[in-house]
Amino acid sequence: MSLVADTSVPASQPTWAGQLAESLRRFFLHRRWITFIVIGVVWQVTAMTANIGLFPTPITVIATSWQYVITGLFFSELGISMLRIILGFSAALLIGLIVGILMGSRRFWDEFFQDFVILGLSLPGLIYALLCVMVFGIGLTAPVMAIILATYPFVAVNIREGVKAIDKELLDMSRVYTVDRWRLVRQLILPSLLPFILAAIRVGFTVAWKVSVLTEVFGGDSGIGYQIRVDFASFKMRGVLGWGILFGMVMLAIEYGLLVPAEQHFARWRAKVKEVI
Amino acid sequence: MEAITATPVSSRLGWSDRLGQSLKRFILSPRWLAIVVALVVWQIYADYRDTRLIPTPIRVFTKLYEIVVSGLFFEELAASMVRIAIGFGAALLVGLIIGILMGSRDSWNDYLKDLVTFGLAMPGLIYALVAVLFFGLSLWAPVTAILATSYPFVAVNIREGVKAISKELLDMSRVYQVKRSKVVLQIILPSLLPFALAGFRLGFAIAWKASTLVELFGATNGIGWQIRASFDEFSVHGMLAWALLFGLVMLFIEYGILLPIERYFGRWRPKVKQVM
Repeated sequence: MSLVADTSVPASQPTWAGQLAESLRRFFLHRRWITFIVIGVVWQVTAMTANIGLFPTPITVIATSWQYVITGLFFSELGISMLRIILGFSAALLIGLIVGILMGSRRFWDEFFQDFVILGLSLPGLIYALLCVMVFGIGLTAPVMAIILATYPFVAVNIREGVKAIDKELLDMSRVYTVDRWRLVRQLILPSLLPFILAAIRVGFTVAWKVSVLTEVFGGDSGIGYQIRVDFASFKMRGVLGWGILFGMVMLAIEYGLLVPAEQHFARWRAKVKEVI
Repeated sequence: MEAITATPVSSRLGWSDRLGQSLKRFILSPRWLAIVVALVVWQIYADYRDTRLIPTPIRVFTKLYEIVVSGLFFEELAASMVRIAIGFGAALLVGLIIGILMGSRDSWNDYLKDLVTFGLAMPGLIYALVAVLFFGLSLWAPVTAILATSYPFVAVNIREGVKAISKELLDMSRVYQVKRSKVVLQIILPSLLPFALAGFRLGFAIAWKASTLVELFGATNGIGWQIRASFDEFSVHGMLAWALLFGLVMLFIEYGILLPIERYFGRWRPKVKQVM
């Protein structure tokens, strides 16, 4: 890593404030807003002219979301859901990592786990959610187990690809030169695996997040899914849509604000990471 | 990559030998060990816990056999399939149009990108619930929910496909005044097809899951409804049986039908990158 001493000066001459203003301007003066305005206007007009009691206008939906945000309900429920997701997803990450490394490095284990992973990928999260609610009841175990079961296959397939992508020739060479094990792991295996781990986190997190909401819908007494359920049960369509929009925004914020930049940062040295599913 | 290109052994053998070899590999594969281990562990655990909530594998498979033999499975599958076919057909059309627009013009990409990204991020659950609230038990509910959930997956793949069309070939055919139909048939379609098929495969998986979700909340038949019924009567073995059947059908469609088609049409190109 330290072989290249030539330190190139970063290209950013303008101050960070100027850069920020520039990117803000580019964000706000963008064509994307036209789409939102068109959809909003069409929706508003249809809802007003159709005048069906159930069908909310975009303004009421956004007002409902806003209501949830300012009363603090959104944040408390988000916190509860997040706790479940983090617990379940960490366990799924661990299991997926072990299974993925085994599958990527040994042919026997690849064939051993293959069918389970494929079946796991193709079963809908719904099944796991319902099963776990029935077996574990209302509590922390049901969402955590459902998240583990639904998520680990996505982690495993990505890790498996990552392990397979490690340069065998570099491994052979380091064996010939008797590079010590620690250095091998730190300078060869980890950097090459990291982009795949991050891709696995990103994909797996999306799945975990959706399954956790499903579990809360069927058997929860708190969390975003439970709130969606409450609104659904009282035919409050604006509530369901409001939660949906909040949910989508949190998901986009986590994905594009946190996970994609992290992935790009750690993968900047390699040309392209192929993402599996 | 290799300097010496050796002919693979299998190509020199007759097809019967190859079949025998692949059969042998299939039978001697460690996958059976995995399945046996899983079943034994499950059976022992279910015996040990001895509650109705954790059925033994034997009970689940008996139930599964009953569902299939009585014909109930095929009835419900057909009901779900009709919904999926209509909804996914619409999603395919919408996704194709949006994907082509996004892939070919930057301005359309700017207009539609956020919408598609948001569509990818919204859970199918929301669409399912809203569609059920709005349309009730009619056919419209599953069709709209399937359409809304799966079109973004089709669109992103088509967009990548359109972007991957070789601009140089298009320019060249313009210079040589190649006929339009020939350009479409011999450049655009072959290059788009693998992406379209990947989009089809992925979108179909999503549509299939969305349809189950809608049936769970607002339908009186279909596989999702059966899962719901089992859930309501606390019959874990019924749910597991339906879930396994669901998984098997999905695997069959994906690996038995869609992947081979995709490989066949994509055989001339080295690798198709699948989006999402």
